[in-house]
Amino acid sequence: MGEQAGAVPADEGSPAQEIYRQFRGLITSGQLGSGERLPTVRQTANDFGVAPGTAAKAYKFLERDQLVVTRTAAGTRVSETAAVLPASVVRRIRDLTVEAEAVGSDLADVIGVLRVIWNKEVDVL
Amino acid sequence: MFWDRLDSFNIMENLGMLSTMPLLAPILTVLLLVAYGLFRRFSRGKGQLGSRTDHALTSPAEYGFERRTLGIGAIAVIVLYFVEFVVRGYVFNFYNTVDWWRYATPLIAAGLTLGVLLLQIASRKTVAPARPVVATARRTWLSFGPRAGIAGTGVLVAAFVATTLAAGAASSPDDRGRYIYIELAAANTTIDPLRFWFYGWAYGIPVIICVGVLAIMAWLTLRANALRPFRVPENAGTERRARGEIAAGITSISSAAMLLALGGAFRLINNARGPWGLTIDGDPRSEPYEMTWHYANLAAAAGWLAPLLEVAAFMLLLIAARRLLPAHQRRQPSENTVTAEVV
Repeated sequence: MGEQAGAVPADEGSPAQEIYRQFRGLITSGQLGSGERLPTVRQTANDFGVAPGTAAKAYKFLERDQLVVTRTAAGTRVSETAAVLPASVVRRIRDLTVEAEAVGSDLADVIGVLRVIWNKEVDVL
Repeated sequence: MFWDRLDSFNIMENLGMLSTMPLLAPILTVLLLVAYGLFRRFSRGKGQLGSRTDHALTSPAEYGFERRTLGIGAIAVIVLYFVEFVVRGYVFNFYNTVDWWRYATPLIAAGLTLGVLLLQIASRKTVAPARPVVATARRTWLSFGPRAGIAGTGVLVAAFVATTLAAGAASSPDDRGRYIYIELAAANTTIDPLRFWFYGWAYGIPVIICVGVLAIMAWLTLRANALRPFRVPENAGTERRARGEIAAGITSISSAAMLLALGGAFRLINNARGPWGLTIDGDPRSEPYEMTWHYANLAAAAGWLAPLLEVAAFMLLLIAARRLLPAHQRRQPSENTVTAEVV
């Protein structure tokens, strides 16, 4: 660990750096939950229109900053310490967003109802 | 006289005969579509099965070609099914020919459609995304496909494998070694067995190969549809829905082609349903020899199922075509009304 977490990698402005920033943003903002698998290197390379080596380099940056953990056969997963919420909760929030959008619900209404239900459930518990 | 005829009228037997008519399925499909159209007219429902949704109308332009390819492909499967029927029945004489392609035609048509779609997706993949969209999840061939459609296609592949193995094992060779017969023997006699054309290995093997190729093509197109990059972040939701429509089209065409092929195979298996009465000239025995296959009930069930499978296939194809093809000529009646009110 030569650099501190969140430090800018040496080749700033490169495609690998751009991919690194995007994923770091997703993890620190809670859009990716702890233990959640990142897309494959191939898919990321495809999505960004770069070579697989460039995407792999970005994943190395994330690993170096302890934002993700890479294990053989388990793939690259968001580390427990870096994530805001567990993967199971984030996945349900995503499903809720898709469903609410599909039926045309208002974001403020969804948040309001979520808060009411949350408080009620906490009281019951 | 009338009552005598009525007494001898066997409903099940006549319905069984009706189910062997090759044109029964298209006729039933047309009747069902007319009934569905009338139901829609009276209920004035919106967003029902097969109707064009708002998503379809607002999907990005680059998906338009792919939707059109699938829509035309769905129609092509139906057209080629009938062309093959006419050519086989009225143009060429295929007497004593193992015409396995009669079952494989819908599979080949569907496979070619998916091949064209795969080329279209692959050619678009070479264009780099305008602004990359970061994915939060892995996309696989299952990501956009309708679960029921994919499961249904899997069940059909399994049904095909089971049918091919069972019918192949029951079949017998002709003098040229082609497994095209089912032999029905009369019990406790020395009479030669009766031979009927059957869905033996000679039919089953080429058709199951076509089923396998179609299943692989479906998997490849679903995978290519899922793995390609999104164009711009703002359109990701719309693109996701468009990919869902494409995936639904892929599974609809694949399953419909398999249903048509399986329906055809079941019709040929129905040949062995029996029982068959056999009388021999000069034989003092007054009763005919009854010859039946051990699995005659299964063969009869296959005969009943065949038209149902074919109706389901035609419905799937027509619904897919309606959902995927643009309706330039189909103006919404409400548009005229609104315009008139505004003026």
